[in-house]
Amino acid sequence: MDVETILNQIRERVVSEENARLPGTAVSTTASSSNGSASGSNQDDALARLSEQLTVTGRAWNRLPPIFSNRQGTLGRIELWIKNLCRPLTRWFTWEQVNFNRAVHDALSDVTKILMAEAQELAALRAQLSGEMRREFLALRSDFDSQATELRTINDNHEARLKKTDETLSGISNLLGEFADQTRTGHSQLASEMAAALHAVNERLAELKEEQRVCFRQLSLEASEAAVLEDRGRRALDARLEKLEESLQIRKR
Amino acid sequence: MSNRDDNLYMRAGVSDVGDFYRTKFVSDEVLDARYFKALDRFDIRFARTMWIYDNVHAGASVLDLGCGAGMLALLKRKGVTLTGVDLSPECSLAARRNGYDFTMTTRLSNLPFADQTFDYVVSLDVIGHIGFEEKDAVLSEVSRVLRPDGVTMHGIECTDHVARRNYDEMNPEDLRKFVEIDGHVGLEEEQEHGKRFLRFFRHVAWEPRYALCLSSDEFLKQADKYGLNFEEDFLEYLRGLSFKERRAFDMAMGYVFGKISDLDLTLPKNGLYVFLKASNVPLGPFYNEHRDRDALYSSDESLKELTCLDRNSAVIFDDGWYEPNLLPPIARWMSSAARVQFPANDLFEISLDLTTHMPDVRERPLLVEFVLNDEPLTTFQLYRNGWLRVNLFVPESLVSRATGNFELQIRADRTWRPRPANDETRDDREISIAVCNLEITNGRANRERN
Repeated sequence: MDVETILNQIRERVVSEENARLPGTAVSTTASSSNGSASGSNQDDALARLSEQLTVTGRAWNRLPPIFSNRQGTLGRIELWIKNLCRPLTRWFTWEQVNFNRAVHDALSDVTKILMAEAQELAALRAQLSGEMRREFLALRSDFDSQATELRTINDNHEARLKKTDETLSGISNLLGEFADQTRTGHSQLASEMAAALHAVNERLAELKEEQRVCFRQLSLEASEAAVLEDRGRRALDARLEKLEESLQIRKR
Repeated sequence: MSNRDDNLYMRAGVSDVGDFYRTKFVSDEVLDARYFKALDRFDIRFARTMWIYDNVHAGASVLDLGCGAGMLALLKRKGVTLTGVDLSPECSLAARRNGYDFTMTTRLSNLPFADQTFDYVVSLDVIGHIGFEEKDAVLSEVSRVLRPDGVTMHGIECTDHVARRNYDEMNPEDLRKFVEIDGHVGLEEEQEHGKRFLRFFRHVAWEPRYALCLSSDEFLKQADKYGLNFEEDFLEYLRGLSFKERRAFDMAMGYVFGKISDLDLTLPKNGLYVFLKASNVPLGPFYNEHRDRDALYSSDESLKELTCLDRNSAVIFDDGWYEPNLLPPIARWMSSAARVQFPANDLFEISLDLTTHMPDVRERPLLVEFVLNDEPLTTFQLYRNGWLRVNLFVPESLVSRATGNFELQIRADRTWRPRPANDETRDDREISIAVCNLEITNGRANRERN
């Protein structure tokens, strides 16, 4: 395996891990804390794997592959001999490869450090955020609890009021029922009383009429008695006058 | 009696004397002479009336001072012209209703009549109600309106200065209570009244009365209200009497009262009551000077042409009837049975109006029976309280057997007492029905009517 292949593998892994981490982070900040912690764990694993890879690159950045041949026998030896002779001649381009490896290794080490620092900072921020969110959550929960208690109290009050209102309405309904009954009874009673009163008035009127008849009868009888007595008195006076006239005539004779 | 000039009514808290007498003495009593029952001449309630009646000559003109409801209405039976004056207009009206020819409301010390108008000026239970400051003015007026040969007669309440306290000895509360009983503000002893009259008339005579005879109610009143001393067991006996027993007692007392007058007996001074006569001419007999009681009794003559029996002197209402009451009209209540006796040559129908006030007559109808000369005419049940016109046809056979005299008996199967037993009026009459407009129709009149 050459150095270029190894570096390509490392790059692809880092990119894929980075791609995998970014949505997880986004999710962790917007979704639940459990997702966040899972994302953090993946990031730590990736960093651990990067560190392992860096130990490999640190160990192999200045090494060149050994001279070998697939041939055997003389041909094989000749080949090895030629390759050994040509080995110093390849130095001019392998040297640059070693420099590049060194630069990549250092850059990756720096990136790893930065990433680790950022990861720590992120963890701290996450912890802080989580704490703040927890506090806010607790505060909100407390508010919610107190509001819930208040709402429960209000609800209880409303229920009590409703109960009372129901009772009042029921009482009013009963009263209305009673009132209706009483009105009906009163009406019928009034009607019967009025009928009785009317009957009594009619009876009294009849009695008064009868009493008046008796009084008028008495007056009529008294008047006729007076007329008879007057007539009797007049006749007595006439008789006396006649007697007087007779006695006068007798005296004249 | 140094303060006699004070107005005792005012001192006793009576500011309106007319109102005081209206509330105390006005009644619906029927005193009309036409309703007078001859037997009542013995009732001690009419003893004073009978004294005046027997001392007034027929056809005279009489002035009744303080006429009240008309206690002297009986004098109309003697054909007198009867004039009444009273402080209370209601009393004047009641007297007029009871047959007085003329009544006026006036003070007795200012009579609205010309001089020498009346043959008699009389009063009963009035002089004792006139304050001392007014008495002489009243007697002066009596003297003025009396004819020169006229006589004035008075029944006067008296006092006894030894036995009873004078007005000056009473504290205001005692005076108020005393005056409130009867309104007596001018009580004097018998001889004091006599001396006072002698200042205005040349001849005065007086006789103490009611020393022996009082009505049962008066006995109790004198004992309870004036503190007179009677035997307690006697008072208890009187309190226990029923209406009819009290009437019997009063009739007996009235009979004795009348006999004392008839025998001209003089009773000792008693400080209760005095009869007094005065005139400027020599007085005749103190009692029965013009006694003529024929008009009190039944007379067949009066029945002729008068078909209503209620006020007819020929008709006798027995003691089953109580005295007439103004219901109105004027009607007689009866107890469980009552009789009417009347003469009639021919009788076709008897008609009358009757009523009952029994409260339970609807639940328990009242059985009423009519019997004529012991033969039943009809029986029916009364089930209402109003007036009822009853026409009773008389069988010819009964008329033919009657020989001109009839006795209608009415019976009721029960009575009731309108007033409770503890009522102050002591009116415990047991009554059943009231009857009025009792008329008879003879056969001839019926034929003419048809």
